Amino acid sequence: MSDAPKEIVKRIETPIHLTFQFTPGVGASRFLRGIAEGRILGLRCTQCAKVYVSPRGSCPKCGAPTLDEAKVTDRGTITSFSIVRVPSEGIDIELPFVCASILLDGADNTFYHVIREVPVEDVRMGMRVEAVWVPREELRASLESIRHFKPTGEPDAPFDSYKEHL
Amino acid sequence: MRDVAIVSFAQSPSIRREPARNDVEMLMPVIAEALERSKVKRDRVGFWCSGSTDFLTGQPFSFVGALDAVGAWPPISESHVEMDGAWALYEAWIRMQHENLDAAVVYAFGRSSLGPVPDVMCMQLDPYVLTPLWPDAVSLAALQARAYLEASGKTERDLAEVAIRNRRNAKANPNAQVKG
Repeated sequence: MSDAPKEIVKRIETPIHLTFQFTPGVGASRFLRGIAEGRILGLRCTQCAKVYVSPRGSCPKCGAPTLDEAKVTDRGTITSFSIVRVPSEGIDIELPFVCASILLDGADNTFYHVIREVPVEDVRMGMRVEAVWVPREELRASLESIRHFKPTGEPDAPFDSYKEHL
Repeated sequence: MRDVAIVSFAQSPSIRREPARNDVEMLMPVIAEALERSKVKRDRVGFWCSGSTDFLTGQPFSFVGALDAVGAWPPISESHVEMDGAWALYEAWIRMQHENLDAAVVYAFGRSSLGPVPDVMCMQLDPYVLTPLWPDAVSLAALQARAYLEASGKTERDLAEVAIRNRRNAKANPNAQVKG
């Protein structure tokens, strides 16, 4: 045995790899099947009637199921946004781009998507946008079926119309 | 000590796999049923506590998502423990000893069918010397059984009789998956 001082182990690597199945759930599956048909589906709370997009199966406010389908258009209002200038692993979008929180017409919650076809400096809260879908034959049960959102050219929505969703 | 009683409970059907619903969709009817049986209104529940482990679901912070099954508005007092329903019940019991609350809801969830359970169980071992060896849960149970046989002088047949007795008892339990 050597008497030389031993170096303390400061770091070890123990990689963990586990494979899981993912269950989107009944609500999210209905939404994703709608996307595969080129339409955005909202689900309505059985208690407070709020409409959720994309639905996760329950109204988090009431703890009640969202069962009835509600008509939601693929147009909406930007309630908040961020200009992304830093690349991220797994995000294959040309920089810079805008990630926005969008309140779709007919929905009571916002969801996130990418805004394109407009200079990033021109994106603003209240801007009206619409979905740009992939070609019909490329539609599948994924949010990637919507390429991005682009401005509609309509006048901006008044602040009061989305202030509850910030 | 303040006496605390369980006034109602409910559970989801015990099935091998649930391919359609997510955790929230499974929890909602169970929580609603337990509340309904207790006759306690949601707004009288002073504390909500869940027990679960993200390693079963394979999703970080799955207990946060599970709150969507509870109805957390107006804001509620809630907590989560990383284990199971019994541990969550203990936290609720402690709170009831110390705080001014009269009713609590305790819920637990987890689906072991989503991942490789024998490997997932490795995650509860010592992370420095045991987990990196990936001893699966079945092998660890076998080591335990062998150690027990050596130490106690019992036989394989003695252990088999325990399994036989449990399976026989399970025949009367509609929630048991392995029986007979």
